[in-house]
Parts: sequence; C-alpha cells; structure tokens
Amino acid sequence: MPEIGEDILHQLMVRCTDDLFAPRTAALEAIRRQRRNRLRKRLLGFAGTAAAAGLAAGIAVTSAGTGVGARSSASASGRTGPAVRPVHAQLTAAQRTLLRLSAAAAGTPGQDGKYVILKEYSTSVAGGQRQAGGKTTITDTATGAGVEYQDITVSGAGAATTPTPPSVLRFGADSQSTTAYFSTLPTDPMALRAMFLAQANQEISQAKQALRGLELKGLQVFKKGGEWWIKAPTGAGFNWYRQVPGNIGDAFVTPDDMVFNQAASLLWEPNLSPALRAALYKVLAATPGANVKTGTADSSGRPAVEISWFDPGENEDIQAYEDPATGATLESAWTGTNGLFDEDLYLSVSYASSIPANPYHS
Amino acid sequence: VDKRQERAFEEFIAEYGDGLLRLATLLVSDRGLGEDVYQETLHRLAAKWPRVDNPRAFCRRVMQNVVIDQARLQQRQVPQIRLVAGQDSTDMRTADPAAADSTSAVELREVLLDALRTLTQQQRTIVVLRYFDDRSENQVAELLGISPGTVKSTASRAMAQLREQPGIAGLLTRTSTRKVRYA
Repeated sequence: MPEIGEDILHQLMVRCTDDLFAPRTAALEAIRRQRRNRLRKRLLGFAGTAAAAGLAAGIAVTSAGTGVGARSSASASGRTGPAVRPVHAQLTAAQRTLLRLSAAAAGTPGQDGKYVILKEYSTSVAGGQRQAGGKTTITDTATGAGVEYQDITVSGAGAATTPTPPSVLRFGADSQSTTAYFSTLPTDPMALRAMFLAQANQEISQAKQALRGLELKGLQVFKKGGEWWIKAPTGAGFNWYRQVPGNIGDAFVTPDDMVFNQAASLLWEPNLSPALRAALYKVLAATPGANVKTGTADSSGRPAVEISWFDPGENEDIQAYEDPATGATLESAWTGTNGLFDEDLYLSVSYASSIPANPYHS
Repeated sequence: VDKRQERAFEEFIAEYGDGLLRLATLLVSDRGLGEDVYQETLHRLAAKWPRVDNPRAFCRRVMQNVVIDQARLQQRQVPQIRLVAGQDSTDMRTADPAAADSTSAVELREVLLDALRTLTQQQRTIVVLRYFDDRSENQVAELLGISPGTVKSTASRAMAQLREQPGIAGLLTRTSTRKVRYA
C-alpha cells in the first residue's frame, strides 16, 4: 500500500472539495442582513434595563405639534408637559395617518408559532448588476436562527451566462429577532420613544467624542460624494485620504432622525406583537422626520400608506409601504448614491411548527 | 458599512468565498455543517468588515471559533435548524454538466471526510490548516494558541492515523492515475 505523504493528502483534500462553490448570493445576503441589523443592534443592552426606565422618566413627549410631514428641527427634549395629550385638532394629517395605522395594528390579532415564515420578492441593484427573485426566510422565534431559501436571478454587467441556481443560506442565532427579545421592548409609546431617544443620544455623543478625538490629532473629517473621509497630514501637507471608520457619521445625525430610523425599521420585523407594532407607529407620530402619503400602492399594486425618510448616516432614502387595514409592512426600499437600490416586497407572513420544504426546488 | 466597503466585501467574497467554504467543509468534515460554518463566518466578517485589517487571517480565526462552537453544540445535542436532506445549493452546482467528473469528486469526498472524521477536532484542524491551507507550523500554533512542537507531534500522529484508514489506499491509486492523465 502506498504511503500517504503530506503532498498526497493535500492533493486529496483539494480534489475532494474542488467541486464545492459558495452560493453567489451569500455575500450580498450577509451585507443586507448587516445593514438591516445595524440600527437594531444599537438597542442591545438598552431594552428592558433600568437605565432606559430611568431615562424615560426624565423625558416627556407629546404627540401634538411635532411637525411630522416636514423636516422639522424641533427637538423632542425641548418640550415639556404631560406624557400624552390627546389634542386631536392639533394633529397633522401625517400624524393622524400614523395613529390610524397604530389602531389598525392593535386591532389585528397576533400569530404564534415556533417558526415565522416571511416570503419576499427581493430586488437589489449595485455596480450595474441586478439581483432579483423570491426569498423565503424561516426564523426560529426562540433563537433568532434560521434558514433562507432563495431563487435569485443575477443579470447585468458581469453576470454569469448560466442562471444562478436556487440556493439555501443559513444564519446563526440573533438574540434580537426573538419573541423573547421583542417582549422586553416597552409597549407604552412614550416609554419606547424615550428608550430610543436615550439610545440615540448616547450613540451621537459617542460619535461626537470619536470625532473630537480625530480632530485633536490634527485630522480633518469631511463628507464627499455621500461618504465620510479623513484628511490626514503626511510630511509637509495634507495629502493622504482615508475613509472614516465606524459610525462617525452619527455625529452629524439628529436624535430624531435616529429614533425615526430605529422605529421605522423595527416595523419590518415580521414577528412583532400587535401592541408593539401599534406603539411603534405612535413613536413615529411623535417624531419629526417623516413624509407620509396615503392612497398609494406598493409595487405589486396593493393599497398602501407610504412612509419615507432620509437616513443621513447611510446617505439613503428609505421608503416603507404599510397596509392601512392591518398596519403590516408590505414593502421596504432603500435608494442610495451611485444607483444603489434595494427593495423587499413582503408577500406573506405565516407561522409553522416545522421548517417547510424549499419552495424553489421542484 | 458604507457602499464602497460593501463592494469591497463582495469582491473579497467573490475571490475567496469558494476557498473559505472548502476550508470550512474540511475543518468540520461535513458538507452541510461546512456550509453553516461558512455562512456564520461571513456574517461575523460582515459585522466587523470596515475594521478588519487582514480579512483572510480574520476568517481563519473566526472560522476556528465557529468550528469550536459547532462542536460544542453537537456535543450538547442542541437541536439546530437543519435543511431538508439533499436540498442545498452546492447539490445544484454539482448537477451542472460543466462540473465534469463530479461523481469521482463526490465519491472521493465521502471517503476522505469519513477518514478525517476519525480524528479529533484539534487533529483535524491542524491537518487541514497545515496540508490544505498551507499554513506553517508556527502559524497554526499561533492560531490555536499552542506550541509549534504540539502542532508537529499532533500532525504526525494524525497522519499515522489517516494512513490506517482502509478507504484512503484505494483513493491513492486513482489519484495517481488522474495525475498522469492531466500531466
């Protein structure tokens, strides 16, 4: 019998794996998941803590006169008064729409089950390539782990001539996508908003501190082409550029922008309780920054309320389409610089006790 | 993660993704588990992306941690989400007629993964990093937090154990034939 040497083992290991190819959509999916989690992750360590409750006590917010519908510079912290002041006459049309969505969400019975199944039609445009197709995400509501079935077609510059086969992606446990986690978030809108606001203020002050640190080192931080840059001195002059690390862009974001973004993107979670979904709409109503349009439709023609806002940190325009009858999210879309576009059309949300078979394999 | 960095991330995965998946598959000696480890590594890389200096080294380190986590999960028999048998992406890829001779790769893989599974996780990691990933003894030692001497002795014991695997001998002959054919 021939002796197995190290070089032969190497050859065997190479040959026995050289027909394995990573799913081409995996990288994109990791980015999307990361992007979507970015804001939600900020809640970590905040939800349900005494710190949040303590901060909540110091902040009073009214739902009246906050100027939703126009990008107002009004700051929530400047207002005082009772926590809830139902002065309907003073509500803007946008606020009334958001409160109607809140009532619709509160009146829609919640579902339950081990797995939440979200069916989407997803479109993503980047670098001249378009990826579009069906996605079914199955998330374990207890652990946040899951599996995603995809049937995505890649087209445009550099796309392969053979179609991308249906793929399966698994993702690990995510403590912030569980029913247990969502149940720690306050369903009292004012407490929820206070929690978001306290978190936003902390994020912004950290970013400002980091920015001051850079400036003390003689570095200039500036925005160019929708991205943040550092200008650093080398030798005699300033001639070295490098992108700014981390979330330093947050130093230039207002707390209301951040709260709005946080509350609005949480609405995309399929497994929220009706009470939490209702509270999130009330938080939106109490936060300046949104454009709300009634009587529109999502890209599949379903009647919808369009909520749109601008995320200055990511330099993206974001649209969400909500079902006026149930308060459920029908579609979400991001439009960034350089022709980048992402869109998820939510086809259905259901619950099951076991993982369904892959719908994209026949 | 801004757009430019996202594109850089995609380019990195386009270049190294296949290699990382293959490394993961060998490290855990299981196709499905290898894909899990690959996915999880990608998610952890994406979370840290703009601040990672050397993504390949980072992936190797993270993958090592994920493999250990997976091994612990398996020991504790924690129920995990698993796929419906046989329905995964790479099965579809191997069905591609362009991937000629894939049956022999599949057959080879089964035998080799079986043999690798007789090793302990540490032995397997050392063998795969040394002889598949071409890491030096010092690099493997540093990655695993053990001495280069331990790497050397563990690798040598693991090789001896692999030589005793009956399936391996048959593969060797075929590999030689193939080598001649492609020479």
